[in-house]
This record gives sequence, C-alpha cells and structure tokens, in this order.
Amino acid sequence: MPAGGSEQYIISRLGNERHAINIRDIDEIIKLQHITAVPNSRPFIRGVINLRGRIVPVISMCRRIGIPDTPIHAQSRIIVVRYQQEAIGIIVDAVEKVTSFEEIEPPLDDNETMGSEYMEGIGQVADGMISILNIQRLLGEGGNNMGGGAR
Amino acid sequence: MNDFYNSEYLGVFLDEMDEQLQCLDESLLLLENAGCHGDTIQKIFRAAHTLKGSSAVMGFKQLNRLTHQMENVFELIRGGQLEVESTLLNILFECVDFIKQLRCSILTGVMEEEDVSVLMNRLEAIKNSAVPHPVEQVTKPQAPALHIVFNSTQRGKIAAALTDGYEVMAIHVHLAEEESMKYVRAKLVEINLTEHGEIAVCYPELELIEKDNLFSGTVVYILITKQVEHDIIQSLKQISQIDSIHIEYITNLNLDTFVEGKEIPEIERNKDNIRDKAKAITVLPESKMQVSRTVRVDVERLENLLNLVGELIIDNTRLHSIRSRLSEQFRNNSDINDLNDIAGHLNTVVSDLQEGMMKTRMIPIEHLFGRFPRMMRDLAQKSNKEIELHIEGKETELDRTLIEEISDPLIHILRNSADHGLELPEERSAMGKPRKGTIVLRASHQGNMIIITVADDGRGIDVGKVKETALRKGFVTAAEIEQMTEKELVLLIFRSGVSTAQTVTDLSGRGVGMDIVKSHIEKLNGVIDIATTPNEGTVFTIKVPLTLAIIRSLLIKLGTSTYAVPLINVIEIFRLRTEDIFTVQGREVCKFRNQVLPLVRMHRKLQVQTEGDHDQNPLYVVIIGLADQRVCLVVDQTIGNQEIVIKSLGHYIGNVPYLAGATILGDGNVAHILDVRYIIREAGSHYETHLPKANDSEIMDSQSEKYITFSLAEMDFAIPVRKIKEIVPVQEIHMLAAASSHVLGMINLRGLLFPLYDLKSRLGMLDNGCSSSSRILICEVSGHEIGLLVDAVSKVCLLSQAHLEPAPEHLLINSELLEAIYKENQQFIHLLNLEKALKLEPKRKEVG
Repeated sequence: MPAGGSEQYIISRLGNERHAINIRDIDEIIKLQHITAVPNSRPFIRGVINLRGRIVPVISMCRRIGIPDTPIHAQSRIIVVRYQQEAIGIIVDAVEKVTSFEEIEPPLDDNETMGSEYMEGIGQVADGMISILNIQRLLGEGGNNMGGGAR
Repeated sequence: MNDFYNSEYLGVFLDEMDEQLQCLDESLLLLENAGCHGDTIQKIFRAAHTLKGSSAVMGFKQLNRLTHQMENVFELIRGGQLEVESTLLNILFECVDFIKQLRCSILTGVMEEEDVSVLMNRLEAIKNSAVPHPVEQVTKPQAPALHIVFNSTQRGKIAAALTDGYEVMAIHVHLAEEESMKYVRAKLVEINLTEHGEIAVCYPELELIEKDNLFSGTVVYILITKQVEHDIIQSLKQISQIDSIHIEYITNLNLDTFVEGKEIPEIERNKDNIRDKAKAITVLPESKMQVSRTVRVDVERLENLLNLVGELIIDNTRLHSIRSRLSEQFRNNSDINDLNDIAGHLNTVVSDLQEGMMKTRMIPIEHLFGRFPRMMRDLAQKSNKEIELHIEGKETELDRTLIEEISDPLIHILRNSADHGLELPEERSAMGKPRKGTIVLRASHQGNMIIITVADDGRGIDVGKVKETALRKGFVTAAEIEQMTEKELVLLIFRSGVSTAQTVTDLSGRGVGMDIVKSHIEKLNGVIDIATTPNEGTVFTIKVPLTLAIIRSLLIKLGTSTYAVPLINVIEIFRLRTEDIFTVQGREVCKFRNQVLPLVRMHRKLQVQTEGDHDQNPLYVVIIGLADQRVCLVVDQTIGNQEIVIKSLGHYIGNVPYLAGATILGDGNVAHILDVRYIIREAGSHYETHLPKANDSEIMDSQSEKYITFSLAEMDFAIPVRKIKEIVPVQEIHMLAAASSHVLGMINLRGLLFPLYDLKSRLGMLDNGCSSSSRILICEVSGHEIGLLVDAVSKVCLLSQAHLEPAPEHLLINSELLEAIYKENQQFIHLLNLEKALKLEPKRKEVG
C-alpha cells in the first residue's frame, strides 16, 4: 500500500463524495464540452469529445461506480488521464484543489460500498477522509473484449 | 565502433540499402535473362558503388569489403573481361542475399557483421579467372585504356585512399587540337582538380608536354577525391579549350593492372575511345540526377503532415460555414467579397494539398512485385522447374500500409504456386504443356478495392487428396465431406490443420501457410477466393479494400446527432412514402424503381430518438451499396456532402457495431461514420435486379425466399437458407457449466466451437431425445454462429410471401418467437424469429 508523503493529488467531487487522483495520472483538466454519444458501446462510456483534433472517449464515473448520473453544471469538468497510452476523459462534478496526504490507509475491505474496487486507499486530510482512485482499475476491466477478437 | 550507430543516419542507410539491393536483384536478373547490356551493367555497378560508399561511411567494414569486391567483379564484367555465366551470377546473388541478411540483423539491432571471407574468396577466385583473358578484344569499347604506370609510392597512396573510402578517378582530359598553350591549359586543369581532392599523379608529366612531340593532347590525372564525378565534370567545363573529359574509376582491382605496366596504346585508338566514352559520360550524370529526384521521408512525418492536412480541411469547412453566414449578413460589404475570394482560393489550395498528400501515401505495387522475380528464380532453381513470372498492373497504386500487409500472403501464395502448383518440366512436356510453367501475377483497381490474382498453369488442386487428408487428419467427418461442395473442399486448404500436414508427401503441404494467408487477408477485411481446374491450373484472387484516411461523405441527421456515410457507398437518396414499405419475412423492405430493397431504420440500430414528428411521411431514404448489394437506410434528414478525416474511436472504446470510426465536423463536434459494410452484411440482401413489369403479385413472388424446413416434435418450422451455414449430423456435445437452460452445450466442428441451442426447450416442447434423423443446423444469428438441434431436416423450398400470415399474437405465450406462419395447401409451417428466440445480442464487430 502506498505510504503518505510527497505525492500530489487532485481532489475532485462527485455528488457528495470526494475522490483523489494522483497528479501523475492526469494529462489535463478541461471544461465540459459537447459530448457525442457512442451508440452500442459499453454503458459507462458517455461518448467522445474533440480534444484539439483528437477523438477522446469520456466515461461517466457515476455510471462506473453505479450511481445515477449527476447533472451537468458550470463547475463540471473533464479530467483527462492517460490509460494504456490513450487519453481518456472522466467527468466529475467539480475539481477542488491539489493536496498531498499525511497518511494513506488501505481501502475499506467491504463489497457493500459502491465502487470500492476502484479505490487504492483512503487519504487523511484535516477535514476528513478522501478515497484515492486507482485509474487503472477504474478504466480497466471494462467488459469489452479488447483485442480479444470476438468472432 | 562507430558514432553513426543508433543515429538517424542508420535509418537512411538501411533504406538506401534496401533500395540498392532491390536494384541489384533486378539488374542481376536482367543480366541473367537478357545478357550483358551496357545499361544494366552500369546500373549494377552504380548500386554496388553506392553500397560500398555508404557502408564505409557507416563503418560497416565487412560490408564495405564485400561490396568493394563485388564492384571489382562488376568492373571486370563491364570491361568485358568476365563472361556472365550462372556460377558467377549465383555467387553474386549469394552476396546480395548476404547483404540482405546483414540488413535484417542490423534492423533487429545486431550490429556485428558476419564474416565475409568465404564470399570474398569466391569472388576472388572469379576475379582471378578473369585476368587471363585481358583487353585483347579491342572491339569492346569499354575496355580500360589506362596507360599509366604507378610506382610503388603512388600505388601505396592510392591503395590507402581506396581503403579509406575515397574515390580514385583517372580523369582523361583531351585538350583542343589547336590549343597552342597546352601546358598552361593542363596546369589550369590541375589547379582546378586540386580543389576537389588530391592529385596523385598525372601523365604525361606536365613539364614534358611542351617538349613532347608525340603529345596527343590527352592528359590523365589521377585524383583522390570524395566528390562525385558530375561535380568534377561541371567544374572542369568552365575551363576553355577542353575537347572532352572522361572519368574512369580506379579500384583495387585495376590498380594492379597499372602496376603490371601496360603499354601506352596508340594515340589514334585512344582518341576514338575517348570520343566513345565522352558519349557514355553524358548519360551518367543524368541518371544520377534521376536518383536524387526522390526524397526519403520518414513515414511518421508523412503521417503527421497528413493529420495536419486533415485539421486544415476541418478548419476550411468551418471557415466556409462562417463565410456563408457572414455574406448573408453583410451582403454588399467589400471586405466580405474579399473574404469570399480568399476563402474560395483557400478551398482550392486545400483540396489540391489534400490530393497531393494522399498521393504520397499511395505507392505503386511495383515496390512489392519487384521482389518476386528474384524469389521465383530461386524457387525455380531449387525445385528444378522452369518458371516464367508475368507481372501485370505493377503501376497499380495502393496505400503504403497495405503494401506491407499483403506482402506475406502473396509470398505464400506464389510459393505454393511454384512449389506445388507447377509440375516438373518432364511431367509438363509429357502432358503436352510447354516445359516452362507460367505464373501470372496481376493487380488492378476495382472500385474501392484492389484485386490481386495469382494464376498458375499447373496441375491444379487435387480435391480428392485434400479430402483424403482432411479426413485422415480428422478435421472433417465423412458425412461432412459428403455435404461439401467442390468449392468448400478446395477451401479446406485454408484450414491450419490441413495446411500443416507436412508428412503427407503427395499433398506436400499444398497449403503450407495458407492459414496465414487467410488470417492476413481477413485482417485487412479482404476476401480470398480460389478457382482450380485439374491440369489447367489454379487462380487465387485476393480483394482488399483501398482504405484511405480522408474521404468524401454524405452527412445525415439521426435524431440530434450527425452521422457520416462514405459517399462512395451512397447510391441514391429519395423520399419514400410509408405506403411503399412492406414487411416480408419479418423484415421491412421497400420498392424502388422495380427493385425490392431491405429497409433499415438506423434509429433503432443506434438507439436514437427520431426528432419531432414520429410519423414523418414521406421518409428520407439513403440507398447504400457495397459490391452488388443495396440497402435502404431511413434517416431523419440529409445535410450535405463533406470531406471528412477518418479517425479511429480508439482502443478503449474498441469496435462498435454500425460505426466505422469518427470524424470532427465543421462545428468542432464529433460525428460517427456509419459502417456500411456491417450494415449491409447484417441486412444481408442481394440486389435484386430489374423485376418484370411491376404488378403487385409478381413483386410478392419475387419476395419469396428459400427456406430450410425442419421438424421439431412433429411440427414444421422454417428458417431462411441464407442464415444456414451448414447442416451436420449430431455429434458429441460438450456440456457447458452454468449455461442457460436453452443451451445444450458446445460442439466442436473441425476445430471451431459452436454453442448448441435446444429449440424445443425454448419453445416449451417436450424433449423427445435424439434420433438418427436428428441434425444440427449451423446458422448465423445476429452475427453469431450457433448450432440448433432439430429432429429432422425436411427440405429446402421456396416460400412465397403470399402465403405468409402473421403469427396470431393473442394465442401465443411469447409472440416474439414466431415471425409468421406459412400456410399453403396441406402445409403449416412456423417461421421462427431466431434473433428473438435465442435472445442474442448483435455481435460486436470483429476486432481488427
């Protein structure tokens, strides 16, 4: 498990919950723009956006962790992360700040909590605790037979 | 070793190497077939020379030695001192192969060079064999007419310079006859030459010129330089009173001949020679020019440029939409008129630029075909056959990425044709065929496809033997064989099992690597076909799509989203009244110009809501086509034509049904590109050609379709023949853990696994077990290949739409399962809706 220390995290908000993403995973944070839905794709894929001429898929973290989509408003952002050499956007309700954690504890080991399988640990901050996301797990194991060659 | 390793020069060097090797291969073949021609020799010589030079620069010492030796041999051939015969050619080919291997190992990062001494020795032997018959054949115009004797110091210097990769040239300068101040001119030449390099020696010594009555007017300078001869000639031409210039290269080989001391040839003959050579020289610089007209560019850079052009096109489109809006707003503003002009011009430039960029991606297939004559030669030699390879359509252009991809399959096919297709010369003449077997390799464009055929006039594929092997190896059962058509049997050679049957000598791997061929072609979305006639030959036909990055497309609106359809697939757009839509066999079709075409409502496929009016009438319909198939798409609106850049949705999203990719529109939004291929394949109807004068009943007749009827618990059922792949006897069923209750298990059919569905349990019938008449129908449902267990297969028959009645929904528990009921005379047949019955999700597109 990662210890605390100098690693920096971006704190994002989704509904009432806050998540932390390691700053090294993040390419950029952009404002919400027109998203073109991709019909018949995996359910948590919200669609694709045009990021300076590149087609970048955008996923809904809400759908991923199994809660209803939160409404889009002025603070909504797309966090663009790198996953297997591809840029992928994650919609969040807001981006709050950059921080680092004194101490990181292992995630709660229960299957009740929604989306606990995507958490890497729990970071302690002055005003509470924040779950740290594991981007690889959040974006991976999507159920798409990637490269599987379904016949 | 050398700084150039890992440098960008290495790439350039390897590219050049490849090009020169190809050139060597081609020219050597020409030499072998057409005999010794001056041009060919020149070409070979130049290729070897370039290789020598660049290998020295890159520090590949062994390679340099080898090419140098090769050059020496070519020099002898050029000088007519060596006969071109097969031993010599074989050694030369081996040298080329060795260099090819070396190139490959450098490519994989192995920098150590293998020892070349074996080849060197063989070349040396050849060289030595040449010396005995020297220049006595005066008739050869190219005979070296050097007449200088080097002393040992000079010789050492020249030899050292040669080893260091310098050029040593003997420059013959013939001064004008009437020139009185020959010494001054000669001195001028000398000064001029020292700018290019070092003069080792000149003959006659300049000081003697004035006194020498015999002086012919020709001075020979031996120059050690790194310049190319073209530059030297250019610079010498600036000196007046020079009649002609001729340059000869001194190599380690002819160096010896100088030392041995040759008599100065008679002046008169020498003069003639110089005239001849002066002519020859004029050709040389030109052809060098031609080489330098091509620029080698990293493919990646090219791709980047192409992407930029793509961006430019998008912006250009955006600019145009703003321009038209502005011109509406400010009609008579002079600035707007200027804007219009500029935008118009920009449009032309951008489209020219795009076309130009596209052309850089396209390369003639010659680049690929050029490798084959050599391969054929080797194959012919190895198998003791006489083979003639005809290449047609080598100028056919295709995307450079495709060239690499089809190379392997083509090599396999050609090998097969040569190895197994063609007979031995004796066999051939015994059968009354010409001794020499012919293989024709042909490439051509057909629409947006490239068609490549490989045809041989050999023995053809022995279907009987294929059958035998497949049976013996247990890939098919006897019963399956019985049901297979001739064509299917031939296609068995693509089975990896059959193809790896190396122990079978008769078949002798007729199909070694054929599975590779198939998988490669499939990867390219291509098609492969075989036509074979016993004793007349076999024709392989490969079709691959000509995919391009930028296409013209039709933009359509579905709900709120915009989609693009490649314009090449758009046949026609028309408005359809809802009264013209019929339902045939559970599918919607429409009548258009006496054709009955399947109707696809894209909204449902793409899960989009129709905007506004739900019962739009008439509907907008776009007819799309691929090969001979046509399908009508119902869309909300057509927007217009636009150039689009195809972009992939990326690995993360993967392949999505109905979508071929995405593009960015003028407004910056992303639009999806419809996958015409997928839609048509799914709709799966053939283009029905002109119907006889339409009256309704006839249309109905044309709407009848072939069905396979079968029985389940003594009731009759039918499914369309086009969905059936195969009918096989019941075989071992492998139970599947945690399978749904309607799945009996998996069956293994010639190495492929198919799920086996139990229709009876699905339809709520009692299981009455399997009997001898039970069969498994292999069919395709929503893109899945599955097996259905039925009690007996009755027949194939034509069921007319006229006798179809919709299933009485109110009587059924689950009306979805039945599509319709066919009732004619005593027959009562249930038409199943397999998609619904088996609850299969549409299959995702094949990956890759």
